[in-house]
Amino acid sequence: MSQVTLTAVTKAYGRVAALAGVGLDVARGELLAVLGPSGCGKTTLLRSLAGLERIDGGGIEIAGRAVAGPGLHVPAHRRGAALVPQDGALFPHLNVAGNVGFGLGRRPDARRVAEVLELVGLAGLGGRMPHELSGGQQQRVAVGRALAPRPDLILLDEPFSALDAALRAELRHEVRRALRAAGATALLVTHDQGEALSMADRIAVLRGGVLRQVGTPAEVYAEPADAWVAGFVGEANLWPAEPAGPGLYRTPLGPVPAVGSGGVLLLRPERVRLTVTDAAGRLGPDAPGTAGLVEHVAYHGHDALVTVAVPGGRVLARPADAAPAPGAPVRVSATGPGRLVPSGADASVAVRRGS
Amino acid sequence: MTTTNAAASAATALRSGLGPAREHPWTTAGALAAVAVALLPLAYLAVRSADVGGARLAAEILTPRVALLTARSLALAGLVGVLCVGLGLGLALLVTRTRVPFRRTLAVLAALPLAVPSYVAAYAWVAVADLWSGSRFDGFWAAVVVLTLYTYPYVYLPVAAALVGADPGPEEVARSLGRTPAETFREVTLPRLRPALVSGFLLAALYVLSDFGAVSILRVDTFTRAIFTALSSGFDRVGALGLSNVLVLLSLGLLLLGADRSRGRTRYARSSGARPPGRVRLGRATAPALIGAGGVLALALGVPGAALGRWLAAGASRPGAASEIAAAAAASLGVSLLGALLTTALALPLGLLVARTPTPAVLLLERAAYLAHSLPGVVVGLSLVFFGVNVAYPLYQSVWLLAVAYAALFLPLAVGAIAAAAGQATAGVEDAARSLGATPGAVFRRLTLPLAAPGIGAGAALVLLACLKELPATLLLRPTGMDTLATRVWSHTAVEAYAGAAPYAALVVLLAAGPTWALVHGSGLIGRTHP
Amino acid sequence: MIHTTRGAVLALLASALLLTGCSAAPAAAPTNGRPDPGATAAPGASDNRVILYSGRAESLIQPLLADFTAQTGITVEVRYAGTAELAAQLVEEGARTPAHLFLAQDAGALGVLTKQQLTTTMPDSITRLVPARYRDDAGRWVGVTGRSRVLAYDSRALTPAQLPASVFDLTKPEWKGKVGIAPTNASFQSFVTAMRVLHGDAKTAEFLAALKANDPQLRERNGVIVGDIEAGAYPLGLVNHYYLFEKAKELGRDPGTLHTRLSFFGAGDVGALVNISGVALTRNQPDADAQALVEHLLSPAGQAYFAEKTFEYPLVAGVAGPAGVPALGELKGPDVDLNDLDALQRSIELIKDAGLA
Repeated sequence: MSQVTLTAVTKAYGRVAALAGVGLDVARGELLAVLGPSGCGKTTLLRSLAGLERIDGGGIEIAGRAVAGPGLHVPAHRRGAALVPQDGALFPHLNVAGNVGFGLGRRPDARRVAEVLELVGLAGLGGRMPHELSGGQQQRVAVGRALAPRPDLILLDEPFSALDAALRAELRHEVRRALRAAGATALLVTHDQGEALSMADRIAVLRGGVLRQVGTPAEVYAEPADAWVAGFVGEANLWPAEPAGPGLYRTPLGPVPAVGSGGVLLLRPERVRLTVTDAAGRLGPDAPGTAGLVEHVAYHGHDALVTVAVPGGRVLARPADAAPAPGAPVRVSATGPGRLVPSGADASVAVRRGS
Repeated sequence: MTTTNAAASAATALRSGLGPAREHPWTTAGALAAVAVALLPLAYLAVRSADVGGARLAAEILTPRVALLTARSLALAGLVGVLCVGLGLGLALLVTRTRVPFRRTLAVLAALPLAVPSYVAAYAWVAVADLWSGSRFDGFWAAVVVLTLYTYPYVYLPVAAALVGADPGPEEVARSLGRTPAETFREVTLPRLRPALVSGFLLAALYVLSDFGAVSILRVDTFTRAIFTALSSGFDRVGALGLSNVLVLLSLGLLLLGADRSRGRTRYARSSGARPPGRVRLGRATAPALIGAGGVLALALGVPGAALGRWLAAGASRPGAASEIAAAAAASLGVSLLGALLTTALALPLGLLVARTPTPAVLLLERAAYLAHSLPGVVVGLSLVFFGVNVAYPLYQSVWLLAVAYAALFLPLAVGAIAAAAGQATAGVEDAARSLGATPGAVFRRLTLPLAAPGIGAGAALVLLACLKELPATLLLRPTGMDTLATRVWSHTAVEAYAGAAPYAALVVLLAAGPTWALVHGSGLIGRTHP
Repeated sequence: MIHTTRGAVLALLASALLLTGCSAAPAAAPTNGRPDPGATAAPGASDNRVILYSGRAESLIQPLLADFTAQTGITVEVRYAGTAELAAQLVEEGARTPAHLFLAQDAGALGVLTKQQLTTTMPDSITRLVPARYRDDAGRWVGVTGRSRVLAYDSRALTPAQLPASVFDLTKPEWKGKVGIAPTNASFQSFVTAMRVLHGDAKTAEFLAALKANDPQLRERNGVIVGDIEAGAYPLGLVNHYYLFEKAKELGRDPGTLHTRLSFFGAGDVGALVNISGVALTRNQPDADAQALVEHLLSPAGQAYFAEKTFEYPLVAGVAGPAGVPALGELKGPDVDLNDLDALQRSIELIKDAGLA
């Protein structure tokens, strides 16, 4: 049962097409992330759903009711789609309880306000004014304010982008929990693939006003619709798929097996094994793969992304154990099969990213 | 945005702990000097009142006539203030939030009535109304019309600037939570505009209390006219003093009324939303809106235009020689620029204090600067005659003392504008600069001043405008032998040589249109120029 | 934005300095402003400079001052403003005034200065030039010109025989809606003051109330009334005599060709009050230059200037009055001590009480 249905939605600003025929379903109780780089049309999509933009063509239904279509534009206040903007946009003249109760009509039910404050982890702070809150607290209020009237749809517009990393992770988790506890249907717009992958039930990847792929986070990550999506949703080694035998493709690591179909071979860095040579420069007895030198290490705490220069290009690897130091001689090899993906409209760009 | 908010509030908390010691002593000293200048007229009133004695003053004040004057002056100020809020807000909304045709032209034209001095406007209205009908255009309602038409830009400009600068986020959220556009306006937009509306209302109301040109020509007995009549016809200084004291009390009342309401200012730090606010299509309302706004502007600008044009064209009374006109224009510009510079320089430290350390003491200082704003120019002028003769004799009848008078009259115009802009230079930014090794002086020069620059410019433009139009204090304090455009207008109309006055009046309006345009441009109303 | 604003501020600063530099030059603070409190002492050597506060408009006095400078080499620095504002300013300045003399548009303002003892007595040689009724008895001010209240009428609508004989007749029903007055104008207020002096407050209030009830045409200024009569809007108006000539000049026509004519009320009628413009010396008299200027104003040439250019009555014997009006000596104005015209306040109250302002 879909809660939100978009059918071939188009919207242009002058000659620039922001949405070029977007069709999408959001199931009831689902959190769908619209992921894309800036300028991809995702904010236009969100504002069109909210009724803040008038679409040029196509149609939108929310909770089984057509809200936009040919000759139809239900104004924002009659759409039941509550907005959580990027900077919170709290009402500066109202306290926290006043903000949360705003959508509950003239005489907001105090119990509901308290309940929502509890849900977003702000119990007891109803009397504070917005300027007395931290950035994270302000954002919780903004989410609570949207949840309180139990809207048909909640629209989150990059709600965590202004927060620091640690706070962002914590808040993502809590907001996800709060949305699920409330059974809310939500559409999250973001350019942060980590945010989309970690929060969403499904991800819709948008580029240039066109949906490139819709799927679960696992699908989008493991089986991207094309090379660009592969590169956008996570680090990727992308090489032109040149057959090197039945089911095998030539790569700087040597022949690698792959499934799927398309002109580009995708190998995620965690599928690349990295072996450090010993102190004397000799390799261990069973060390396979291609010899290379560590060029760069991006350390993330829980893991690290290592760039290795090999004859014929560069290889990204994400070793499970300790990362080598830059300049260290290593051997790299594939631990599993790669995936063939279509090159898409801009294969050359995408392929260069990985090589 | 949210993190900077948090940083700002943390810094505010820190600062209030440290107290005003954080401000440079020079800032505090400058603010005190500014308030001292603004209070000169009150000091004069106090000295003169003491001469006269309480009993005589009381006898002068506690009369039915003064009660009537109070009621009429307050009614005029209140009514014009409210109408200014309505007209200013309406026009501001029209040019910032709708897709009305000729939007930018309207935005500029709507500010222009500010360039027309009230005495020119009133003469023009009387002249044009005379052509229309045999009966004379005057009285309370005539004054309401004329004062509203030429005072509303005091509301229009700050409100339009606030609407342009405001982040549209809260309004969009309100819509998404089920509020209609009207409810959103009432519940979200209006509260955010309140500081701009209240300060605009105060400026307009205080201006009406102090205005002499319009009420004298339109023959409405207000305090200002009564003070002038007492001085000029009865040479009755006691009466004039008594009335002036009551006028100060009235403005005190008005200020107290507005005090708590506009205090939110610092809290409503403007978010420079990257997205311009949405503009609604007017649809079928386009024609009525355009006709309404166009009608208001046609009246406000067309009537003086028609009268000036007619005077320029008709009559053989000698229109001053070109050199005389040029000399008057140069003198007007000279003293007005000097006045604007001095006023802005005095207003800067006070504005900074108000924006950055709004302690009760600082807010009291700010209110004190507004107190003399309602006094008629003739009282302020006489007080500076007294000050000049008794305290600063070498400055007496020099342009410098005239500039001090302008500062005393117009300080609040600049303080308001500077305080609004200086609020953007948050303490966090300055702390960062200090941590990079900048001295307090360097922080002020490289950070505080540039960030407040739009406000300083706006304040200077407002004061320049007011100085160009000012007449009574200029007449009393200008150097002997110097004539400004305003005094030339006066001297020609005094002998009914309207044709002779017309080029000077037209030039006042033309020169004043310059700073008015600068105000409109600086507020981002016509195409946003990002700071 | 910041840069343009900063640029604008700098430009403002620069141009203000330039302009004030230029305009401050003639505006140097008075250097001789150290008056001797006992201001009748013998004046010192002339500095060829005199400061005049003029309540008379520039266009009505400036050529005469230029003549004076040409003849004597004494420059006149003039401060033009309203007579009342200048009187207030002079009172506020007291003994430290930079001004040397005050030219007032009416006797009342001069009376204020004499009461505050801010004047220097003029020698007999000056005061005796002017008839006693047009100067202060003690020589503290002297009249320069006379102006008579008149009834202006539309010669197309009325013949002289049809005109009212007294100003009090204007309240009769036949003139309902037909009389133009300028009740906020100082000249009307002086006329009312004279009526109070001659007839008492009660009768004056009664007259004003009756005038109001007769639905007069209220105008701000005398000149407007003459213009209205000329245009045929209504047939009568209470004005000063010279406004007809000024209107003719404004229109570029000969006064005789206008439809508007003047009528002088007869025999002591308060409607024919003759008021003056006059001059007083302040207590700041470092030399005899100011006195020389007074002598120039009262010289035959000076008096002739007023008669010919401003159409006022010369007050010095032997100088011909303006063409087209009766001579000063023939005027049968009321007998009022002009020093008594300083209390306008009560007159204004009466005018307001009657609903005329």
